[in-house]
Amino acid sequence: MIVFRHVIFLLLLHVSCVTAEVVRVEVEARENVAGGISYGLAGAYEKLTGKIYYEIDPENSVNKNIIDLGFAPVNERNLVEFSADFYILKPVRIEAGNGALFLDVMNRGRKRILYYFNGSETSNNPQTALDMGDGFLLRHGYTILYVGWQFDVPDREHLMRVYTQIPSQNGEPIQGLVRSDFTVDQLTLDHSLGDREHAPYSVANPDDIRNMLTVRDRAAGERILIPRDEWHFARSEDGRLVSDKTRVSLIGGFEPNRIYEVVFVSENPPVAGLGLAAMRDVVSQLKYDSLEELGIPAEAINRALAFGDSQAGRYLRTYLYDGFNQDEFSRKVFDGMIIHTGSNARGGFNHRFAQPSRAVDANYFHPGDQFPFSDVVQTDPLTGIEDSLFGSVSERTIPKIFYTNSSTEYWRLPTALIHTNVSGTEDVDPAESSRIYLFSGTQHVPGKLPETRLSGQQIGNPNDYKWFLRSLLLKLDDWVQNLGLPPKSQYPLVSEQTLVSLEAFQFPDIPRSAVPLEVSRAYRLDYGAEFESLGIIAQEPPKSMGIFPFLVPQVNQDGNELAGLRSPFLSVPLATYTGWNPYSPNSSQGSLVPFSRTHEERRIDGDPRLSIAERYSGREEYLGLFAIEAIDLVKDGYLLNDDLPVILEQAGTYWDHFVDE
Amino acid sequence: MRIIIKALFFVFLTNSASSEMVGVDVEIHEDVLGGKSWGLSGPYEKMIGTMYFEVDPSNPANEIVVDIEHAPVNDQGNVEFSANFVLIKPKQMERGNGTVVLGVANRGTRRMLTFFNHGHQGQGKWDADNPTAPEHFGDGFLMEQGFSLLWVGWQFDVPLSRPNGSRAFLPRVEPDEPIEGLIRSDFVVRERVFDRTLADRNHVPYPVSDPDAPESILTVRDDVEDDRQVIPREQWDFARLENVDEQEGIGEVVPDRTRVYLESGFEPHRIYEVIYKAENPEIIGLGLAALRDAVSAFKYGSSSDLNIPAGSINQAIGYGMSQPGRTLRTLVYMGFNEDEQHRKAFDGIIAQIGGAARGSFNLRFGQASRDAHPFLNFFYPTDIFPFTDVEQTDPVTGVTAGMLSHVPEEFMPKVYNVNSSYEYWGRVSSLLTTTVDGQEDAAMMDEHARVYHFAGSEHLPAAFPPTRTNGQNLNNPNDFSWFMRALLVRMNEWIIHDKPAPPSQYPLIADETLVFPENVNFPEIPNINFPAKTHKAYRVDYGPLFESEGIITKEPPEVGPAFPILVPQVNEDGNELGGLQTPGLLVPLATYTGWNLYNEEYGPTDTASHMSGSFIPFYATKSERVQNGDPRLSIEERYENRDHYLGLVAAEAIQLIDEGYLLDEDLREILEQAGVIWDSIVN
Repeated sequence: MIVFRHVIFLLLLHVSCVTAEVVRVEVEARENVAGGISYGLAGAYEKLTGKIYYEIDPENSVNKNIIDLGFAPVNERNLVEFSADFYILKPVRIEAGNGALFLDVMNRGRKRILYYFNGSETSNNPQTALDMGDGFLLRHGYTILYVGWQFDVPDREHLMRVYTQIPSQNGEPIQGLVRSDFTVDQLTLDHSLGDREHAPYSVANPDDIRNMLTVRDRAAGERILIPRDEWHFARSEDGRLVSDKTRVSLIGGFEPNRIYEVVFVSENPPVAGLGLAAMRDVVSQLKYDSLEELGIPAEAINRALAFGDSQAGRYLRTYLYDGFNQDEFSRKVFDGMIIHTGSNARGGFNHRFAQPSRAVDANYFHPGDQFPFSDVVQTDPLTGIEDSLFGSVSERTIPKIFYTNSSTEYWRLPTALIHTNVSGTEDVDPAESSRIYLFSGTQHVPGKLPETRLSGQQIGNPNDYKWFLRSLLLKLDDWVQNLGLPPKSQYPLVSEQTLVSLEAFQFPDIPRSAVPLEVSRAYRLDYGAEFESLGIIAQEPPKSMGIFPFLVPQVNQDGNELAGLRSPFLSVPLATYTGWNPYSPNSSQGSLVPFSRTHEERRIDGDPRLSIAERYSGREEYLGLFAIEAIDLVKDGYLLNDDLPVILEQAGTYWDHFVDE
Repeated sequence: MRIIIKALFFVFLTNSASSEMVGVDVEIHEDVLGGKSWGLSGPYEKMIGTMYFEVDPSNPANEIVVDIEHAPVNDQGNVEFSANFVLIKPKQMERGNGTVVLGVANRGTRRMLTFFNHGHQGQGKWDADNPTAPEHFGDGFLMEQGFSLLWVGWQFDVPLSRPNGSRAFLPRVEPDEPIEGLIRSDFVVRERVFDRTLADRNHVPYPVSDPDAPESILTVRDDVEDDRQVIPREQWDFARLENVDEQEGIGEVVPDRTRVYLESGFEPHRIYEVIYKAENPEIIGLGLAALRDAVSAFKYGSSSDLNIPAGSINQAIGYGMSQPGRTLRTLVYMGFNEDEQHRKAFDGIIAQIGGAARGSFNLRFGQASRDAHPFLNFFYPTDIFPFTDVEQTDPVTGVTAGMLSHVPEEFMPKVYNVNSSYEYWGRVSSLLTTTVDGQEDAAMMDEHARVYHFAGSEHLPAAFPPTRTNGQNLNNPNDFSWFMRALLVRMNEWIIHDKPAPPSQYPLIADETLVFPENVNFPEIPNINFPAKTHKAYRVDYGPLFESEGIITKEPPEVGPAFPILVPQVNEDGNELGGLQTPGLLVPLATYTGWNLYNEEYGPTDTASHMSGSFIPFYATKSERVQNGDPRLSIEERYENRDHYLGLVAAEAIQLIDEGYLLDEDLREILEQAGVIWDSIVN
């Protein structure tokens, strides 16, 4: 590893602009990428890592959206200071790049976009040629930026975070209720109060009578209170209980597959929303000014795009709703966003005692899947509230948005609500500046072929939607630059009965494949009177006030989804591809159920679906049909010309796997 | 044409005072397509104007120019000349790929946008002189790759009918005593005419110096090797016929030093040949110096007028198609790849469909347009030894030479010789890869050079659906431009990253894919006439000063024994076995050949027509082909259906992509093209 010039950079630290929110940058490392190989016209890339230091004015009206900022300590200039880790991959000659900043909204501190766009294995310290995958984003000249935004990421090397402030009121620590729910898959004596190894909130006073632990077997089931003397804020060490304000321990242990829930009083919550400001302000700085420390002069960056998947997708929806796409000077921050697998939800990213990691697959009723869902104004018929995802965002600062989801999102959450009315009875188009794409017949994160059986009943679903993302990114970027409209939205419709209720869902009777009987439903939740206005949860657990409708994509006689953006793997199928997996309905796993190879095989198996031999005369005819479908998708802008050979090669691999294996 | 003396702008700054390219006039400077951005290369701009050159006649790099010692010189003792140019380049050079592709024009016509980008302009087969419309730029391939495109005139005698053609303005010799020389002009007409230009293809002729000189001679013959019959001097003259009465065939005979007139008229399909004297020729070798010095100036200098900062061009590739392919072969062979300051001019040379040949590009009274085909342009110094990159000895003459073997390492470019099947039948291309006796495959200079044969193709692919032009069969649409796109990119990678280009691909004697024509097992296809002979190349003696001085003293030249010529072997479909095969050839719907015998309108029907190949589709059904006695399997016997066919094409194309011969991004159009051909033949 060649670390050069960082000493000089540390000496040359300076304030670029007195009014800037980014006040300085510490470059800790500046190294070449992939040994300095050239990525086409974009040339060689380099990585820079370090920390960005910010100061923001709590009195600026734009910052009023940051919960508890007003209680944060200020410096002598009456500004709130904070900092964040950054990691940037940029062309060594920035002028050889494409002028676009592409921000990876990391998922729980982990870097994601090189996986999605370059097809590389996930690395949190991407630097080698292997880490760059096929180099897609680099060859296209993107400057890739990662900025830590979560204050509580697990304490592991290369996970990136924001360093916030602890607010207080009148010199007193802020206290509040925290709810921690969890499920274990084997008998466990103690459990963290945080989610997935994230930094937990500590219980303020273990003996506080408001602290309680309940258990239930289903999300919507009745909570059973566990007597206070049977559990402790403690951890188990060599069979002994040791007091621990960040863990909970149950005598006899936590049983598998039950939902435990601790509600406790904690104190000193950090200002979580500074993570949103960290992203906003550095992007704005790079777009409208410069950061010479990063080798980015003025005007080198003329537009900014963001990508977030799953939690990070929900983060972007929150970022929008909370009004972060305008900076302190009311300028537009991001020009475009791909909000991927973000469902209909937001998340705990900007409220008091926020737990950003909490999601829907292992957690319940945390702030997230709440109205509004669509980015056009709707009224919730139950509450009468009128709102949209763009909330109070001024029209000028609304970015171009692609909402992309896998089929899994339609089964894990009422994702359909992003394109229906709140009652689920009518289709609703997104805003003119948005597009919605369902990657039909796919799972949360594509599986691989061949793959070993994981948690689900079937093997994972390998239908690879990443090819769509590559094309859509370039189309979004063109749209942002007024170089052309993006391909039209593709999602299932109530009006065409391609989006239906669970009761109307007609899955073929495939042996060993049962449709999930139960899905996670979303409820209107009441967190108390101060939640909407002040970001304070007073009600834990929240009160449920009625269920939202739940619609899923309808399928054909093969069990493959009818509408949405259908890959050639789905339109020239060798299998049934689902977004759900009957054995683990809450997981992010879909399923793959191959067709029988011959008529005889399927007759013996009692499989209603035509066999491969009944569909195709052979590998070549299959490939030819596949090629035609792929070419149509290229023409329509959903796939890239350049990717066609690899996609066809993948198709050949599928054939060999299913037929010749 | 004389040099127009203008105020010279000394904008090309090089390290040395003896700058060969001394000025430039930009007459047109426009954004390409209104500043449209081409991916990472960004917007392009176009400049059209004139470049001015000065060369030192005593510099060894210039001493190789024939007759330079007789050139007029300026006050500095330098020879001045100029050339028009077209430059299409990234507006911000730092966004380009740092490579200039110098397109060597073919008789004044530019052909890069049409060929590489699939651009078009009306019915023309070549680039627009001043490309302005979107269709002129095609799909933007060269722009998206970041190339700078430059065309610099090199021929002084481009037809005047192409006023904006690529052209050089070269001085004539100015000796104390006039320099005289022999000119030979042969021609074949398609219909009876009474007068005819002395030049090839309407080029600017060398005028006869004394129309009444008794040694001027006109002959006629019917076949290349026949004895010439002298036409009595009183029956013809250096003149033209004006105010012709079409019916009577009579008119006013007007003296004309650039045309020849025959009282009884020239008859179709006979070979006429005039030999005459002219004087004080243009110094045509300066055209090669113009190409050399233009790219050197781009690589080693800078120009504010052309918006080329120093260091922004680091590589130069010379690209020439057909005649210009031979021009580039000649340029390297003669030592023009070393500039006055001993720097390498071209880093890469792509000689496309240039056969194994060179041409009349640095000779006294050279006629650059003259080539050599089975029935067009005979015995000009085109197919002349040496042919192979490596050194060989001609067993007949005892002469030892190679095309690249003598080029010093520091001036050695990467070289592609790429040819279609037509070059085997019509342009003696086998000499590029065989020993002179035709008995063995010659060694290759793999470190520097590649030979690619595009199997089953003609000189330039016909558009689909093809028509019948000068041959008996439909022209051959087998489209190898996709290969050329990939190979250009590979050449650039070879130069910049030292990543070797994909291996040579051509038929071999060793595996019997290259055979003597009589051994070709072409199937008996009804109504298809297989050629009984190929074009021939001979050892030709142009007199003792030809090799040493570039002067022809013997006209007609003395013709010696022919070189052995081989052609690609074919399979039972009549499709070639070796070489680089397109997916369309590998998964065939037709027989694709590099020959197409003349039809009656164009020439002798037993002779391969110039530059055409054939497209002979298979029958769709078995019953049709049996009924018609076609031995080749019908399409339904080969493929289940269209999808099956397309799947096979896709698999072959992907294989070629993996090997580096095709580009990822071209797969879609290749498959679509295959679909179109299927629909056309089957439906």
